[in-house]
Order: sequence, then C-alpha cells, then structure tokens
Amino acid sequence: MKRRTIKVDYLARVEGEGSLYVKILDGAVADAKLKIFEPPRFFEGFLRGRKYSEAPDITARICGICPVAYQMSAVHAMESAFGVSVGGQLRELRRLLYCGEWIESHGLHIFFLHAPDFLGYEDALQMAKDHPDIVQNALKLKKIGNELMAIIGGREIHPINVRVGGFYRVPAREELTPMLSSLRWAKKVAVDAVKWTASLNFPDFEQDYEFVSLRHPSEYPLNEGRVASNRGIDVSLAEYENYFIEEHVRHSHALHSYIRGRGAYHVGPLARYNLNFDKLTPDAKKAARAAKLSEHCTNPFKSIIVRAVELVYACDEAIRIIESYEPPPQPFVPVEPKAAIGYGATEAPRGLLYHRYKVDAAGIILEAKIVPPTAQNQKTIENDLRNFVGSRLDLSDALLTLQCEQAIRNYDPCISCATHFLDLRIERGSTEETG
Amino acid sequence: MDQPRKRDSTYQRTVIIGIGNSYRSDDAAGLEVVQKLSCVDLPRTSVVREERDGLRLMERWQGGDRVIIVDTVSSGADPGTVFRFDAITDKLPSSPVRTSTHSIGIPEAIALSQLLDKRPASVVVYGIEGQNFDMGTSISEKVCIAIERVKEMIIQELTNAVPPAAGVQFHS
Repeated sequence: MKRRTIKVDYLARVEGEGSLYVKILDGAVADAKLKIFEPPRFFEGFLRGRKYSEAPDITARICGICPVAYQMSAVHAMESAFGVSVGGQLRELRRLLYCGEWIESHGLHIFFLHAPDFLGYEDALQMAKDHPDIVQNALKLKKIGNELMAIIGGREIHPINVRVGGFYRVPAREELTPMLSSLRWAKKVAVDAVKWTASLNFPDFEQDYEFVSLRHPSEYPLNEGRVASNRGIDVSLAEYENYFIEEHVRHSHALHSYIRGRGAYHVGPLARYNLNFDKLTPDAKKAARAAKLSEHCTNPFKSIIVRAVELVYACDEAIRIIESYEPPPQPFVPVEPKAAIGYGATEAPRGLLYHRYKVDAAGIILEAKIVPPTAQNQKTIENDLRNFVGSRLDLSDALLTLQCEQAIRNYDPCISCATHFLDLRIERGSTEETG
Repeated sequence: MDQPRKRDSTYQRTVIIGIGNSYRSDDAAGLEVVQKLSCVDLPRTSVVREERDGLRLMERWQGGDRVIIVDTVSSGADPGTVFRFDAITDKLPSSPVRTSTHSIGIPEAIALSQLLDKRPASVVVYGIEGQNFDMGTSISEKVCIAIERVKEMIIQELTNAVPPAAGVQFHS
C-alpha cells in the first residue's frame, strides 16, 4: 500500500493557531482533525469576580476582528439578567455598530483572505499585482467599517463606548451622516461582489448541514432572536444549553460543540442565509437572485457569495439607520444589578456567539460561559474535510492540500480570536504500514 | 516603478509611526520613541501610534511623502541593537511569521502600497532589538537606551540634510 503525506506548515489567511491533520488509510479517510493548540485563554475564568459592567470591555479583548460581537452578546446577557430592555435609537445604534463590524470583517474576508483561493494566488499580495482593484476594495471596505465602529464605539479595535444599558456617549447626527456616501459606495461594491463571486468556480460539494442561527420575527439577525435550526430547533436563549453541548476533545484547546443526540452543526453566514433569506433587504435578495444563488445554499465554498450578500444587507441596514437617526435623549438605560442568570446571543460575522453569566446581588460575576462561533464549527469543519478529501483521493497532493485550505477558509475561522497560523497535514497510508 | 527620490529638505510632510504592543514589555519600544518625539517640535511632521494592524499602515501614512517607522525586532542580535533600513532601496527582513492572520507585516504593507501605487517617496524603518516580550509594561534597560538613541537619530535625520547610512546596524 502506498503511503502519502501532504503537509502545509503555515496555512495563511485564517485567524488563530492550529493545525489540520487528515489521515488516509487504504484509500479512505481514516481521520480528520482540526487541532487547535492555541493555549486556552481562560476568559471565562477571569471574568469571575469582576463587575457585570466590565464584561463588555473584558470580552471585547477576546478578538480584534469581532470585538463588537463579544460586547453585544455580553450586554444583552447582562440586560436579560437584570430585566432591562434597550429599544429605540439605542437599539438602532447597536445594530449600526454591528453593521460596521460585518462590513469590516466580511469585506476583508471576501476580497483579501478568500478571493486568492479562487483566483489561484498564494495570498492577497500576489493577487494585488494582477487585481489591485480587488485589494483596494478590501482595504476601503475595512476602512469604512472601521470608521463606523470608531464613530459609535469610540475606536475601531476593541471599542470602548459600549456599556450595559447602551453607550457612554451617543453620536450626533452630523457625525454619522458623512458616512452615507461611503456606505453607498460600499453597497455598490457589495452588489458587484455578489455578481463577481458567483462567477467564480466552485467545487461540487453540497453538504447536508444542520444550520443554526438566530431568527427574529422581522429582522435579519444581528443582535436578537431565538436560536433556530433547519431541523426544528426553535428555542429561547435560556434553553440553548439544553440543546447545544460543549465537550473537550484531546486535539483541541477549544471546546467542541454538538447538538444533543445529533452531532455537528453549522453556524455563520451560510446558516444565517439559509434560515433568514426572507428577512434580507429587497436589494440583498435581488443581488442574490441575479447571481442565481438559491435561497438554500449548502455548498460551503459558496459562503463567499453569501458573505457578499450579507455585505449588501449590512450596507442597506447601516444606511437605513443613519438616514432615520435621531440622537436618543439618554445614552443609556439605567441598570440595577440583581442576583440572576443572563443569556445573550448575537450573530458575529462568523456566526452565533453565546454568552451566559451568573451574577450576584451586587452585580459581581459568579460564572461565565462563552461559546464562540468557530468553536461551534469545529466538528463541521472536520466533517467537511473528511467528506471533501474522501471524494477527491485521486487529486494530487498539492491540489488536494490547496483545496483543503480553501475548505477551511470557507468558515473564516477565528481559531483563537488571537494568533497566527494553521498547519495542515494530510497523511496517506495503509493499516499494514502503520501496523 | 520607483518614485524619484527627493532631497530631505523637499519632503512636504513626514509621518513617524511607532508600532508595538504596549502590554508586551520591550515590544512597546516603537511606541515609546514616538511618544518622546511627540514632545519635540519637528516641522511638517506628525507622529502616530499603531498598536495592532499592519493593514492600517497605509492609512496611517496617508498624506506623508516621507514615512519613518519604528518597531521592535527580534533577530537574535544583542538587545538594544538599532537597525536602520531604507525600505525603498534595502530589502527588509520578512516577518518571522509571514502568514499573520487577518493582517500583514511592515514589509508586506510597503510592498502592497507599491503595488497599489500608494507608496510614499521615502520609507525608513528603524528596528530596536528587544530582549523581553513577556506580558508587562516595563522595558529592558538596554532597550531604554536604544529608544533614546533612535529618538535622537530621527531628530537628526529630520533636521540634517545628510541622513544616517541605510541598512546599518548600530550596536548597543
């Protein structure tokens, strides 16, 4: 029996530190592991003993790409614990802040991180030689998203203006309206991006996923909703842990999630899109339809198109909010802590981000649980690799490795919300050889 | 492809960018240098801090035709060693891990700016060899000396028509 080993030491364009290992024995995939060796960061541990009001700023530090997601899940959880409701323009401002993060994150992933895979470049730098416009778009979109985050959040990375109950300060109309022309430009780029990404070549790889995302009666989900799946889950946030279980596996420092009694599930843009197509704006739907992207898309490689559709949505939503914005009379709703458990879940660019906090009567955090999207996707990524490699064993090692990297980047993984690279290794062999 | 080099006195605006992580001990050296320079009256010069994002470097130096970047390096040289590179004419050492996540390093940012026709006429990079990159806010003694030295070298560079030789190591 022939034994083949495929190895990529430094897989780029993902966030975090880990490796991927695929073992092929006797012509079949025997094992596929996403090994995450990024050291555990213990955020849940050191939130204990801190004040409830510190949770948004502490958890924002988990990620430099999606700090708003952490802040939003934290404030919603605390508000649910204390029975506070934040509505009106404060709620709108939160959505606007989140739009900034989606624009920045999706813009970068579509054009800078994922596009090189489809166009056959090693990285964005190589791609920029032939397609400077694509890289320019990525940088401009990132800048626009960052500007929005800076106006509302105080600064673009790890915003400091978010508090339980609202904001420390709210922007004046005049601060936001100059963003409109940039956002209209961004929307045009996004609409073009849907068309352009749909013209790329996609491997034939339809998968039977259980998609999970928030679902809201009237909105494409960002900040609020029930947890829903395409296989019948429709539960409140307080019930999340009855259905979604975390487990430790030896090869990952990030806990794996699975649905009780069922197994892997898929969170992120593809899940949101499949469960919430009806809630997209007319122009986002139109862009999807014009690109012949079905309302139900189960090819993870097409997530690049879906991100572009969500980019259209985020621009539409940001423009809508700014056009109708009136500064709220108070920047926040007063909050009185009490002993309680609070649940929060919002849609980070990479998918559902769940927080639960137990606080005492003085508002001190006694327990914290945080389930980030990439942790939830780990099993699905491994399943994708297993199925993908299994149906392409005839490919050369080089091509297979390249496509495996691309398959991982379908999830825009934020492995640690922290570090640097992913090591990919495919090992081919036989049981006889390995004895 | 290269833009014509200018005499120092003809630069319209200089941007000095300090790069680093203020919670990683010596990694804050570049930030310290620009902090010190912010107290010095330098004509047509602005100083900025960049704590994280290599992709933002191009935004940071926008409007400047001369850019000076100061960062901590880890090359194995003696702590406090000062490196000076002319990023237009010298080949910058690549980032140790080129595949940095969602961002890019200084050499990549400069290369990208050239591809996008956004590279300033002059880009000089100062590197200070660090000793300790542990969590914390204290800076090693030799690195402190180098910070002062780089500050003086930059002042000299901005006020003197003859810049220091490029691609040179200045030992601690």
